[in-house]
Amino acid sequence: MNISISSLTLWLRLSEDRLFLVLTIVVGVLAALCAVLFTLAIKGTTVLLFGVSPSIPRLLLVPTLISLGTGFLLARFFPEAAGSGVPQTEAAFHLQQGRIPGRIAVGKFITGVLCIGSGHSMGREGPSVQIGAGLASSVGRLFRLSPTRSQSLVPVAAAAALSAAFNTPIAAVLFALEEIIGDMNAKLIGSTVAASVTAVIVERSILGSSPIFHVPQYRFVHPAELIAYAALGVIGGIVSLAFSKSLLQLRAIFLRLPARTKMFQPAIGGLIIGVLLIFFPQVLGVGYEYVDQSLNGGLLLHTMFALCLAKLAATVISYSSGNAGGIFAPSLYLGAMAGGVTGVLVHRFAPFPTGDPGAYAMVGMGTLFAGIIRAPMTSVLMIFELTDNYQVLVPLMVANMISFWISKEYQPKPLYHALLEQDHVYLPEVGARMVTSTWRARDIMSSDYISIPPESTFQRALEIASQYPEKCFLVANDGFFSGLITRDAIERATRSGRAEAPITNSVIHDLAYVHPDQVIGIALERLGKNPGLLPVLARGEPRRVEGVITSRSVVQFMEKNQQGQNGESKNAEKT
Amino acid sequence: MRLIGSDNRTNEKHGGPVAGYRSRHTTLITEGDKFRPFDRNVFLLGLLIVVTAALFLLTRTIAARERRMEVDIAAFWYARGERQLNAKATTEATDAFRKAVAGDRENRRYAFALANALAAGNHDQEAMQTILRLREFDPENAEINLALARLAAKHNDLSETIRYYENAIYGRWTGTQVDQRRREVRIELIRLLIAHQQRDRALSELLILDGDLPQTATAHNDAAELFLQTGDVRHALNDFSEAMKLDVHDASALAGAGEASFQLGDYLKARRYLEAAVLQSPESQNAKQLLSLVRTVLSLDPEAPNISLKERQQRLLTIYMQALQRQENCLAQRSRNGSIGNLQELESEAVAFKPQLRIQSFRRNPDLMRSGLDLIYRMEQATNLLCGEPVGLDEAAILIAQRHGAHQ
Repeated sequence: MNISISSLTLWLRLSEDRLFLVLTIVVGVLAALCAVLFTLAIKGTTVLLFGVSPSIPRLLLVPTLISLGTGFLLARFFPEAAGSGVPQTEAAFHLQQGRIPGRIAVGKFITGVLCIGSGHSMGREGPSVQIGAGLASSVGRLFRLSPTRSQSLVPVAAAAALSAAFNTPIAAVLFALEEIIGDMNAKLIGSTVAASVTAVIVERSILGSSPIFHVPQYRFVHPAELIAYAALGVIGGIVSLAFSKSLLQLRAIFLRLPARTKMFQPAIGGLIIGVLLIFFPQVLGVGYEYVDQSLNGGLLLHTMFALCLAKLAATVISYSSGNAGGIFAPSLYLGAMAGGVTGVLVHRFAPFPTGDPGAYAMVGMGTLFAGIIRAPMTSVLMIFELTDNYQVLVPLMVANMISFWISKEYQPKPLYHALLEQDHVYLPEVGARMVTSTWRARDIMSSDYISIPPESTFQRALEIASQYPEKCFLVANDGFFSGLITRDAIERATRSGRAEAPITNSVIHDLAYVHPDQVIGIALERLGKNPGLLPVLARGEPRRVEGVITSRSVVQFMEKNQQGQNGESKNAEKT
Repeated sequence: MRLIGSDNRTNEKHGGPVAGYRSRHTTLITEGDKFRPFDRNVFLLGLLIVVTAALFLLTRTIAARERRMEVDIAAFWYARGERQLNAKATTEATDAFRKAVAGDRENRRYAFALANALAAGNHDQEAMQTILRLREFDPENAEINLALARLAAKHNDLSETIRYYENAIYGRWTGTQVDQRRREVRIELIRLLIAHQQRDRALSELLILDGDLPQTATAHNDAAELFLQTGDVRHALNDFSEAMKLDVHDASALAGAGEASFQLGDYLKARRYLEAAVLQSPESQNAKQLLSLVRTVLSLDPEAPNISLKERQQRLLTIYMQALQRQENCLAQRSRNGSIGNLQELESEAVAFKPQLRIQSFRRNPDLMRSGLDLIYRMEQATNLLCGEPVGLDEAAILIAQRHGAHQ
């Protein structure tokens, strides 16, 4: 029987919709299971390596020796597995259409367990996100989903992993939208919610429904307390800045070290962490039990102050030295301690009635999260979900907004993005990410471009140029961009007797370019600034040419698009 | 032919052996089709679901094993915490109990031990929160309510304290000697009420306690002591008497009965009980001091029966001179550095009264004795206000004057 092309197209499209829906649930379960396994593996490894009550030599040696091993693994087999996992997932989503090799997920699991389990002061949520996203990407490839569908599975899995790792399904959805996708109105909200809910059901069916933190029902005692919470926002902003700046600076120092030391850098971090653990064993690993104590008013003022400083130093060292682990949990830890200190001081000296210091510790968690991670809405909902306490919502929002503003004012680039830029990966701006319904530079660019090597003479350039009608040519070597040269410049130089001279001096370096994900409007605007050719450069690999945009490629795209629309309308009429 | 979904009506309408029809709800693919994109995907999906289910079971097994390990570690920390608490190392015990609770949150014994250690280390706020969480699961647990009562008492929250104590008394106790423990808690509550001047409430609790006392001298003595503290001296004397019946050699009961009789003004009985108490327990300084005072009162009482008028005059003169001497000393002391109140006027009155302290005057005026005692009482009281509580003869003088209705 004959099957019309249009009905087959419709059949396939709808089928992929269904398949995607089923995969959303399956990926949600898988991401949750990976997150739970990751948590269990970290706990088991910690007990295995440190025992129940670790001795001083053990505290010193375990992080150092294990980091030697993880350093080898990270340098040799899984270089992409170092660090948090959230920015890498973001980069994969925005720059590689969600493509994450399965090897990275495996490497992240192994190195994450070893790093956090051996005492490094890092969180498990970021790695869980990357593991889940890596798994989703592999599933997408396995089922040969379209690139857009494969890409969509990444934030879905990220939400599921975070939901399972932190037991906060709503905040996880918001985190995926706010941080990974960068668009609160994304079409993926339904799939993300489904995966997040599935994940939390799976997680609770295995680990039980006990919350991570056991927080009393704190009350907002007096309206004047908002002043104290505002002060907490300022303190949170300052601590966030201190954390972000010191992390970036120390990481820059480690990155500047010779490449051959890369394998040993995690061990340097491990040694310093070992020394720190002797004096502050409370900063070992994730450290949620001490957050819990702070939330319940169980820590003294000087202890919380010391732990805030020690945790800040420990996390900065662990992360900068190239270990695998996140900053999600450390930011909550720092927030709980900074909030606890503020709470005790307010409780002692405020001239108005105040809530318990634990309430400030709770708000402090959200404040630091908003300041460091820069996801203010996620932080509000996360604390609300964690504590089930409506009373703290207003103070939380006040403190979060102040901390967020201070952090943004003095560190304009969000930490995750700044970390990526240290690795020469440039994410699109939030504004560009929000535009989802328009064509991108990648759609109108032509990958078939003519390039003249930078070391060519004018004679050689003329030989190449004479074969093509273009007025402007790309100067590039092995696909790496150097500049542009115009036909006029080549012909003029040849006519004036400089045929054997190198083209170097005539190459235009100061010109506009775009990245593949930038919208068509920006591309056309910039094309007008260049002499007839706009290079499209990769974000992840600076100066690598992915294609060019010329007036001809734009016209070709318009024609193709018009034909496509005509074909669709004819099919619709037939149907 | 393989049918995915089910819509046979549609199939019949459009289908032949090689037909592939796709409606909104139905997907039909024939085996003869060359183009079969979903065969592979359905197989993969099935495989993925099987792998996911296997991974789920594996994760559950690992989680269960890890849970058992955590419970074992928690038990280790609990045992360590107990040892440290016994050794009075409260901070270390608290840390150990914290780890036990973190390892096994379901175990309320650990949480209760942590709360007690926190309370012992004066971390009352956290202790309170920990116990309140425990109470949510078991609101009638007497031990939990008792711990809450003790914490509330530390914070002087009287109404909450009383509420928690009552919950503990009428709550559910576990273990042995339940009645005994209930009584102990009630006694704890009574002591607290007395300390907070809630005498009526304390008395009502005491009367309940009194109706339920075991037949032991100690129990009656304890109750009698509490009656004394609430000011119900008659009930106190009754209980001391009960205690003496149960153990005639009980020095505490004898001394208590002596004190109760003394407070009731029955100095003869008081002397008898106190003498017996001192005999049973010669090292009891309180009983000895009280006996000495009682003896002084009895030996100086000018209104005592069966003594001559001269003896009465002599006794009144003795306590008068004692009161005057103390007043003069006080006056001398206060005139150097402070106000003297009405001491000067009283001294003038006392000096004016002195000539009447002769035997003839007593014969002429039978009310003179009462007037003298009244004056002595006022002198001693005024001196008390400025120069502190009386001792020895002065105390006896006041008691004698009070005994005979002075200043009433």
